[in-house]
Amino acid sequence: LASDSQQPINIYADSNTVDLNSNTTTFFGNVVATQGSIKMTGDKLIGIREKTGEIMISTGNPATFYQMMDDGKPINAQAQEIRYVKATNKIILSNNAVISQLDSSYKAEKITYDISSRKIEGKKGNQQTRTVFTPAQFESKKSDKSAD
Amino acid sequence: MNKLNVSTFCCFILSLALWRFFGQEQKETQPIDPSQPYFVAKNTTTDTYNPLGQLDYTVKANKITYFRTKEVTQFEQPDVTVFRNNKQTIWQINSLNGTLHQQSTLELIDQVKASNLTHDQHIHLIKTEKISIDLLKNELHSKELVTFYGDQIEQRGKGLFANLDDQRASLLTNVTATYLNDKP
Repeated sequence: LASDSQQPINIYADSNTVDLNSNTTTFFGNVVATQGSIKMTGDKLIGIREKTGEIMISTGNPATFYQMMDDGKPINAQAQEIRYVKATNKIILSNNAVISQLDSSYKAEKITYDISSRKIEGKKGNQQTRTVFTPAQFESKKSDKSAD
Repeated sequence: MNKLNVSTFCCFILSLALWRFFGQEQKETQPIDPSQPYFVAKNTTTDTYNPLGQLDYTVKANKITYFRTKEVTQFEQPDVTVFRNNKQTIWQINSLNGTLHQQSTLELIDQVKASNLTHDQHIHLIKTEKISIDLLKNELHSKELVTFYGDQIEQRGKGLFANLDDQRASLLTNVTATYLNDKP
């Protein structure tokens, strides 16, 4: 939801370790992070406190990401590493990355999803493919499929 | 001085010596009652230095009670500043009560607050009801509910382990954390 980024981030985990030198906190075991409708899960999550805001790096097999969009269509994503950068409101999915909305999905090695503009960029092999999907295109992709 | 006088004089010296010897021993054998404090002092500051002569930790207290037999020091309103590795994080820990056991473990209980005196670190306060400082291993331990406070951050869990040398602190179970939004 558009209001997600204004919400506090809540994290639940089995344990954590704060590193005062690097200003990071690492959460271990059954990690769930929520921010408004956003929900990230993983085995481990590193929270880095930057001047521009938090960076959350969740890893797992897979780590997952979920967000309800304003149009009522949820976005689901998974990868071995999901990096949520609050300052740019983007998530970067790495290794076996998949992002899907309803029955449309997009796979790549690396996917960058811009939550604000809802644009998706993907990287396959050593080629950077800029396949930009907006939800509307997700919509038409679905209708093309049904027309085949 | 004839023989009689000399022998009486020797007997006198011998008995004096015996009396002094046995008399002293009796005094020493009086047992110290361990439940009684060896000393009590008010408004104290205790500075402890490491073998290199560097200030290691300081304990200020409204009142200290020292029990020599058990080697236990009890503090009222202790305010402990742990310097340790000078440039590193310096912690100031206070509570309502505290006990130092054999100069190695300092237990602080009741409204324990550990303030991080080093700036720009994202956790600057730890609150709990009981913390023990292992002064030999340079570690903080607790089994209680512990909360870390930082700039727009709050992290809570059960159980604490912190190593003052490598600047890390861990909440051991049931962790919840909240990262608030930056101030407008």
